[in-house]
Amino acid sequence: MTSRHHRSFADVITSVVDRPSPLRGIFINVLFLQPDHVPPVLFESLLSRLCSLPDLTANSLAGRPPPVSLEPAAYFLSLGLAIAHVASVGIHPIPAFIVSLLGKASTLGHSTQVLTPLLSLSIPGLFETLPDRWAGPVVLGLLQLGPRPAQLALLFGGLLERSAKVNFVRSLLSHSLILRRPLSSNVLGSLFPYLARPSGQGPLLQKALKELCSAWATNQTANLASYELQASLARAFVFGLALLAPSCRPGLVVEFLNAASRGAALRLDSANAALRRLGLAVAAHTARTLSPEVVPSPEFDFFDGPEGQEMDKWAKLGQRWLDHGDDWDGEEPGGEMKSTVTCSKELVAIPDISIANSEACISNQVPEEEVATTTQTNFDKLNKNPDKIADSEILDSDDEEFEAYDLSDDVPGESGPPKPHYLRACLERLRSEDPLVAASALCAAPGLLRGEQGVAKELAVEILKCLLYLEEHGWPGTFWDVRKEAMVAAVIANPGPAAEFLSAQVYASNYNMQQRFDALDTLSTVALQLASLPGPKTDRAMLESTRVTAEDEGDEGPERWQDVVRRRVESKTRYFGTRGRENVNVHPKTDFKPIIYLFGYLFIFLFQFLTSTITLASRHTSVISSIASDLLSFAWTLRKHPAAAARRPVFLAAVSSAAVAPSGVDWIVDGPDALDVTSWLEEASMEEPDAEARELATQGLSLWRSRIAQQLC
Amino acid sequence: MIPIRCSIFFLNRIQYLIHFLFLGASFVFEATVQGTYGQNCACFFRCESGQVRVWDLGSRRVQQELKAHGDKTILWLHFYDGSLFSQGRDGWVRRWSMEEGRADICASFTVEGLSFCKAALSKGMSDEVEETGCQLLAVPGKEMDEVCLYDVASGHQVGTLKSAADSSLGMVMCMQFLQISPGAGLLLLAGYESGSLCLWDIRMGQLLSRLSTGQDPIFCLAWDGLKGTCVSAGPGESLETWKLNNGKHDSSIPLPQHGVSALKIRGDGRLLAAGCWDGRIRIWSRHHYRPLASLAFHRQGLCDLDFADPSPRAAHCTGRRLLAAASRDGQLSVWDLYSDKRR
Repeated sequence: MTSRHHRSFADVITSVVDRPSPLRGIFINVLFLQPDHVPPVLFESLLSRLCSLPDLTANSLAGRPPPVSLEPAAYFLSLGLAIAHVASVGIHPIPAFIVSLLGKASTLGHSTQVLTPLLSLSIPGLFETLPDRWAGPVVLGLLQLGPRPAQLALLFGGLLERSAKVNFVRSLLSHSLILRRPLSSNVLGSLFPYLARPSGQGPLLQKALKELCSAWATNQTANLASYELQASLARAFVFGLALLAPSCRPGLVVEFLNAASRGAALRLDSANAALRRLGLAVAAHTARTLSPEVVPSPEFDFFDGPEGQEMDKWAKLGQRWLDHGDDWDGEEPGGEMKSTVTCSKELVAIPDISIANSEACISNQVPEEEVATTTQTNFDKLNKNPDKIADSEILDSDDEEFEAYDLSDDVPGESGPPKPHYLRACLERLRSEDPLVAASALCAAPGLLRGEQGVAKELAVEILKCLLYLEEHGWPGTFWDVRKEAMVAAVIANPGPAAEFLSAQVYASNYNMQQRFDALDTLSTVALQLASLPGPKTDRAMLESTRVTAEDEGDEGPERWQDVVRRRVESKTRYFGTRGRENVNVHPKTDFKPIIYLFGYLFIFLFQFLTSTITLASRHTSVISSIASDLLSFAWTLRKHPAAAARRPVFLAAVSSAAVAPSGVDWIVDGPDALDVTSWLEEASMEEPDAEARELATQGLSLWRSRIAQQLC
Repeated sequence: MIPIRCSIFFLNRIQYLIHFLFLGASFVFEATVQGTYGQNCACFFRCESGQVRVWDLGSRRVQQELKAHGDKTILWLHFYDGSLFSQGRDGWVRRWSMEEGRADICASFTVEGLSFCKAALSKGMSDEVEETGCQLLAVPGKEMDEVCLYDVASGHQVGTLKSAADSSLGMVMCMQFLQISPGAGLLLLAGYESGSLCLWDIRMGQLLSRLSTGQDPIFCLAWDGLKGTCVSAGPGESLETWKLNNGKHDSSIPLPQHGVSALKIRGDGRLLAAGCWDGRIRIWSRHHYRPLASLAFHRQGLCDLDFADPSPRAAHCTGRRLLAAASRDGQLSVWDLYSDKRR
């Protein structure tokens, strides 16, 4: 058959192919199945005519009648095989035709079927004329086949030179491939080694890594992208970083480390534990790769996790590509590459669900005649149920995702309603009729009164009202001690109004005897505690004097407040002997004013009230003894106070202590001896300049002498 | 008229949404939360007075009140598949259709045994049950350790579970139907006063296994189907987990305070909740039993707990996983618990 005949025959054939008829399908089938019997010229002509067939196929897919004999899925594969055959017989396929075919096949998602036979052809510059609109799908399809980098470079030819490199990387790599879908291992293993080839594509890898880096460190990616996509990003970044030539690394250290650190920080708050580990693993590998000698490689526990191991394998894989170049075939000596490129889920350890061992499903305590044998079967079914294991796998990560809340208040020994955290809530709960609620509030009251000083000053009186009315019913613990502590704290929070209120309640008619004595006891304790508080002016001096005294005496223990007060009083009265007490110019406003203020209320009511109710108070011996002892102790400490206004209540305290103290009881605790008190009162009754104080001292002297006489008798 | 007060608290860092009801002096004995009742989540609870109330979590109002058993108190309440089951001290078990805001009695039958042990309903777990359309209700029988099985549809007693050889079980305290695998038969797990945990085969009416958990009675139990373990609790200071396949003790979960009255595992199998006697609701992760939260709101011991599945229909509760707790202090709390962790 001559060339002219071929031409005419080709015209006939192509006219047949152009028409959608059953004959076209038969003819194409014969053509593809037996290509050796078709002349090359005819084949080329036919292929050029067949170039329009994908449009027909696409139209048929869009709703038109389907092709007569060619299935769309096999159609592109047949075309690819035909092109490969044409190339094998020595006819170079028209690149424009192939590119057009690839574009249409890629649009329909069948690019792989065409590319599979084309990949074996290794036609130089096959994709050089690839239009930008088809570059993404076609290149992605090609990369999914896993071509070697050298093969990829051959097929691409001058594609990258033709395209603007930055735009190529940005549009193709970032937007089309990586940032929209997770990359498979084949794509990573082909693309990045290709970009890292030393023959001129090195800067492209840097640009790709910068794109990856910026995407990795964005808030949008960290919070909105799926874990699979972020894991793909991490793999690409770590793999590409390992492929980067050492000479290119110094200029990128700061940028990449900052991005990796930011990426890790963004993922630290994630609820997904795997994502948190992934961020840290990428940061660690970045630091380790870029500057292991400058930046110390952080040692994190997550290197033992699946994410850290996977990143490690990708980094090692990139390092091997870098070491071997194009000569390396990508296979590990032990075949590890297969496991390297598996997805991360395979690296997650499957939890051990040990529900096997169903032999002993029956307890030994069960009578044998009652035990049915179906249990073993049931548990065997349970053991073989794959759904259970799958659920358990999910639960492994869920267990870490749940963040535990503060359990510090859930400790043994504490029960009942929670304690209030604020003073106003405490006041509200103190008014509750539920004894458990009131008890919890009472327990919290002293601490809150001491902690919230501003609010405590405002609410002190109200809290005192509640505390005075609080009763012991339903109280689980030591009610009286806790309530006294709370009342003392309330009075200390605002001494003036609180002491005035508490002193007034002693005479009020709506309290029982116990409550009145509680009020007095509280005032006494408050007075003592306030006396032990250092004044604002003399804090430093007092502390220094305390320290010096302690050093001189060799006493390392804490000093008693009585000693401190006595020393302070003595320091103010050290000129008494030379200039006379009348001439001492001491300002009456001293640091003891709060105490005097308290005692002004306390002692007046105390003396008048206790002397009239002393017989009724006989059953409260311990309370009275305590009050009397404290009063005497305080009077003894302040007996040399220079101010007459302060000495009057001091003498009143001495009188009161002698008046209220129960007879026959050793009530003086940690105080002066009775004879010393008598000597002091005797001296004061003669030498005290203030007439009122002198009269009180005289009364006290008579009372104390009578008590001593009673004791002697 | 019982005063009702409703408030909302947003606790620090914990996005708990608490609706609490103050019900005067009446106790809330049981609560069940349902996510697909009407357009909003609803919470059913029964009081000492014998009333069943439907609390709408969207409008925060009592949507419905039922005198389910006259003036008699209600022993047990359960909501399943659009129906409300109630057991009263009058000896009747009733099934109420709660569709479209109505409350119609669909079925009613009498049971013999009355005790404080709550009944258990087979929720269509067994294939046989689904095929035959037979839904079983297990209630305590006349004898102390006897469990009677009733067909809910017909009201007929279909079986009795009683150990003939061993009468030392004591009173049955808690029950739960379970199915080990989708194809397996229906089983009943029952806890007894003697501290025994018995697994009954419903089809054969036989005792499959018996575990002795100790001297203390078992007050509540929860079946963990994913791990094949049973969690039991009583007056002690720990929760105990048991492997039912080998009958051995699996682990012990310590409690700061003694006494647990209710145990529940969330529908997705990720959380274990315990209602304790000290008024706290304690939450653990189900997989490793890691303590997650200790919810302190109630002033007296908890009576019952129930989880609600997230409802796509209820606008107010979309995506939320609610936990309802009823306490002897007369208050009912509803908690939004770990709802936003699943993405």
